[in-house]
Amino acid sequence: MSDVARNGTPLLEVADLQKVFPVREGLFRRQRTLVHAVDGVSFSIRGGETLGLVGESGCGKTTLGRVLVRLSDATDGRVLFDGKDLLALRGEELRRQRRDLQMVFQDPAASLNPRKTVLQTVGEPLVVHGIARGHALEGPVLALLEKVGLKREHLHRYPHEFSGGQRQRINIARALSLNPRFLVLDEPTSALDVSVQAQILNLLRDLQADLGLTYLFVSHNLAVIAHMSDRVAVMYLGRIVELAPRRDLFGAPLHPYTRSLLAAIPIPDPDRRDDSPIPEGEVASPLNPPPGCRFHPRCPLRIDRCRQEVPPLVEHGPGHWAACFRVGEEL
Amino acid sequence: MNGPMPPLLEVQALRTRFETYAGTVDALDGVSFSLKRGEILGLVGETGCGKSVTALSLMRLVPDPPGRIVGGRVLFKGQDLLALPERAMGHIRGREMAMVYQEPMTALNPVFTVGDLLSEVIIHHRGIRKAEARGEAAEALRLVGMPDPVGTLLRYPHELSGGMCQRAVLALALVCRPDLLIADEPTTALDVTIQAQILRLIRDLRTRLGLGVLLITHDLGVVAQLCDRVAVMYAGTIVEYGAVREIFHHPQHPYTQGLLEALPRIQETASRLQAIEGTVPNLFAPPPGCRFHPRCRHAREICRIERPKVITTAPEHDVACVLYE
Amino acid sequence: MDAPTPAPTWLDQWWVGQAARLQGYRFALRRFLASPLTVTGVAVIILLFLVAAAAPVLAPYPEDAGTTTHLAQRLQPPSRAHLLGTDDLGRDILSRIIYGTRLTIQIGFVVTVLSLVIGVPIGAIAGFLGGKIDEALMRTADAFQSIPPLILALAVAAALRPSITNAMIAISVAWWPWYSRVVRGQVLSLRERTFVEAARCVGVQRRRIIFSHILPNCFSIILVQASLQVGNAILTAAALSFVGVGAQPPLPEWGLMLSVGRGFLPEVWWFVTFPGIAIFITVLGFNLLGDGLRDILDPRLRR
Repeated sequence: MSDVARNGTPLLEVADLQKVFPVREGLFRRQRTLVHAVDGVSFSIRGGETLGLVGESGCGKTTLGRVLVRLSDATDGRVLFDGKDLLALRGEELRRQRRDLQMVFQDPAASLNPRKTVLQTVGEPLVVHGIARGHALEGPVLALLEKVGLKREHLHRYPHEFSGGQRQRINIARALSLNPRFLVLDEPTSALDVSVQAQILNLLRDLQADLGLTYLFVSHNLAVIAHMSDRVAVMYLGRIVELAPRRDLFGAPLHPYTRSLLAAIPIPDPDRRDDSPIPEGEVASPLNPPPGCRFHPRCPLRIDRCRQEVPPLVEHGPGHWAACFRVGEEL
Repeated sequence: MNGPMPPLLEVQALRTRFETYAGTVDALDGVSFSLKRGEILGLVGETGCGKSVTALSLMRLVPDPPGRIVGGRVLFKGQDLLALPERAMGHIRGREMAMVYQEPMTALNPVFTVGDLLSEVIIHHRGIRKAEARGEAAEALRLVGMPDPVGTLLRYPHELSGGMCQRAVLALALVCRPDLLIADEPTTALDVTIQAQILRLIRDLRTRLGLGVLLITHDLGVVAQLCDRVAVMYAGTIVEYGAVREIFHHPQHPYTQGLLEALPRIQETASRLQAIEGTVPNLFAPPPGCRFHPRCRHAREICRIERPKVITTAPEHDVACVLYE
Repeated sequence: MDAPTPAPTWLDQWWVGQAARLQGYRFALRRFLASPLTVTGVAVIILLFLVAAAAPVLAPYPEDAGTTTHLAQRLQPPSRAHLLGTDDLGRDILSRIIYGTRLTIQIGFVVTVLSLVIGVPIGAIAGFLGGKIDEALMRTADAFQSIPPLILALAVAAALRPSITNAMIAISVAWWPWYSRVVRGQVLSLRERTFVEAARCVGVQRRRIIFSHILPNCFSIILVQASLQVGNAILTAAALSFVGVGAQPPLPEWGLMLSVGRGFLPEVWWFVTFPGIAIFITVLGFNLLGDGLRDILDPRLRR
């Protein structure tokens, strides 16, 4: 609750974050191509807020999430969590800091050790951080299970005995075990059926309200993002191309990529079939990104300048940022 | 109901069973639907509802053991496919009915070029010479909108992106100009923008070639955008069936209603989604009577005892629910 | 709601959990027993253990397994008194084969356990830590593997005093690289799995990840490999004894019996044939068991 009440300084501030992967190619593994998975990303998230991060494959959204929880080390840039420099932490300090930032992964089954019971999985963080052990573990774990809608009888069961939705609940319970303030949700419902997805999304919203959590919600599904987010960032090939409050992004998208994404999603309403142009071409590979604006080869509005310069993120309206030279000139 | 011409495909009470170590599963328990020429029929449902098994059953590709088709008829152009000897079925498969799968990247043999793969099928089914087959192959790629068709003939599958692979797979499927195309989640593994391209391609192909398409998907948006009619499956049965506009505007079965309500939508800003309680039933021990009744808001006593009959509530609208008797 | 039921005790909960696990095992057992070959393998091994345990009772001439000799009855063909004939010192071959099962089991297990004890930790550390440590350990394994295992075992056994114990040590020295590679491969793939990442995310220390998350998931593959190799261990030990650097007389080791009996071929056929059949059946049994284990364990691994 304290994070929501605290207005003013954002809980999480990201500045010029970079994550570069070397890819070894060639017979002797000598030639190195560099993949800029995250290429200069900046944004901030206020306490209690949900920032939606949306993009197609190769855009870097998953990498970004992993860097934030320090599963992967950033190549450059700064991340401030509650004023603290997150990227500089090491060793024991880093371990302690992990309690504040947690992640829920995409594949509910793969996220659970098949040989550990629910009690062991959800209780392990408590054991590892010296909070509780042995029999004393049951109480707190049960409380967590109840929070996510599971029951006492699930305590000693193994992951293969659960459905996809239940497994994801277990994952959420584990993520909550250390009382985090910030959760990265990496496609938490993409592997689930529609009916179960609704349950999990409702659960996530309830938890956010009850526990005052801050979310970074990563997904490729625009409808889910629209439902869950307060603000939305659209990524393409490692860069944020548009960032806006939810209503503005979906109501008046500025960047051509955002517009093409919105045009491409199949809307579940048979009366709204349109034949508007859909983007041509393939999603460019992060191994060989186009120069200048990375979207320009597929962009219906491209001009020469787009090939030569990288468009910066510019604020075009209150809290509405877009990285495109052609915004503002109306079409 | 249907025009003077019989439907291209008519499935009657199809039942498919799997015998495993853990027990017996009736994956399909009386599935009936029909498909006209040039129509796109959507088969929609969640995991485990049996939509993929339906596709495999139609093509008689159900792995045996452990699976077997134990009942029903599949009338394709008037002929019961289930009664045909395997050899005759082999002639139909690929030539008159073709299938496209979910993972385009693994559907193509990685050690052959696209040209080789296409030529092989063309030569096998049409018996023409190799040089001619190349020309036909390029034509097939042009048909599916492949950029640079001739150049792609020389590429290997791993050099193609997901979207291009799926186009190649479609080309392979359509090379003999089949009458029926079964597409099992053809765009699930693709990015949104590429998905839109492939779906539009399927729609164009239907119009240009007069194809009948059975489109299997879990995405209601895809159904709404592409399909003429839709069958909603749940736990091995069809619970609702009819014209797309009818079903979407007047969903009658509680499951269909639940699915539509559970969808997050961009325009609406409700803070809670209407979820369907519970989970998909364990098919090793399915609930008695109506398979949906444990999760149904309107369940009554009789739902636990009897399987609901299929009732036609409007032209082009069938429901299997006791509420409408 | 009716009257509140008393909260289940930890015993109840444990039981519920166990019941669920038992169900899983029951399915596995059903699959296991569904293959006639696997059942044969299991039967052979159970038979082996029973014979070994009941040796003093089963063997018609238990003293023949030791140092007693009956030179008057040497090299007699199979008869009612000696069902499988006698050897060059007049000892009953059947009894010696029966007592030999004890040695066989001992060899199979000691060699396997020793190889695992050396190979598994090396493989796990190499796989998990990677980098220079991985290189160093794997090059060492390469060095050991570059020499054909039988020859290496021979060299080691000959360097030490020839005995059955030293033969077992020698074989383990030759074989541990195999297990370390298998474990390393498994650890490499497990290291990238999401549940390991989730554990890291939550702050689990490296040591705990290796021992609590990764190694238990290697158990299946180790079990399969080990069971497939037990047969080989027995065969290799027999080979070493055959050549003279393994079991020494008067041990009733089957390979040793082959070695001595070879010299009396072809008239004295029973001396070589029956120990040979015993080796064959035992190794076959372990191989079938290993195959069967692999069939039930591997698909579950993949699931």
